[in-house]
Amino acid sequence: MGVLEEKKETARKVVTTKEEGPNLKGTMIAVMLLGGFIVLSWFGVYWLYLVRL
Amino acid sequence: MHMHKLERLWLIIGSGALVVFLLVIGVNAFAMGHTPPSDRDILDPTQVDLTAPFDDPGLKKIGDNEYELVLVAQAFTFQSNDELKIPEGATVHFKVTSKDVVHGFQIPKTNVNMMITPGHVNTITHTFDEAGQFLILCNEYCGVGHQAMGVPLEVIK
Repeated sequence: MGVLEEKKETARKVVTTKEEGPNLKGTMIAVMLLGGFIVLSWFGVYWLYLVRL
Repeated sequence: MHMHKLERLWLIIGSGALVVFLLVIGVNAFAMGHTPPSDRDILDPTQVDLTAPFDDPGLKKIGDNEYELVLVAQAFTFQSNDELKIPEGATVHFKVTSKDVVHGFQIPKTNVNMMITPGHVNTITHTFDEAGQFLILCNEYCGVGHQAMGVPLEVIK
């Protein structure tokens, strides 16, 4: 194997890793669950405001 | 720049929330005239007793079942020359200032809750739809007698 071919091999490997990317599905679900809880608590506070008007 | 599609979605939701918040504040302030309780109306805190309307704090009828309640907050009470009795369904415009330190002004079970800052005319409005005993209390630590700082407000049928 020549030096040139070895370099090519390394470059190709790097590109392959980039295309796959990290799997963020679980992260997204966790963040949205937390977001949903926060949004619900906002509506809770707004409901408190309305019943005390 | 490469960005994961979920990261892009997350950023859109976050920025969208920010835009919604700013719109809510903008509509509240400019279209509905909502202002903080300590607005532009100021007075000399050392001359409260000589400054109208605080030279005669109390309850004044200003319209059909509409009242103005002027109170002077002072360690450790809310001064008024009148008994705090209002009829059911009355709309009360509270005007409060402080002679000394920052006090709180809260009526539990209502949305009346503001800071009483010396040198400011602090205003808030509430309509009492139900008769009963209410309590105006200080919720901002103001000194050794803070826990005793409260006056009853009666809404009668």
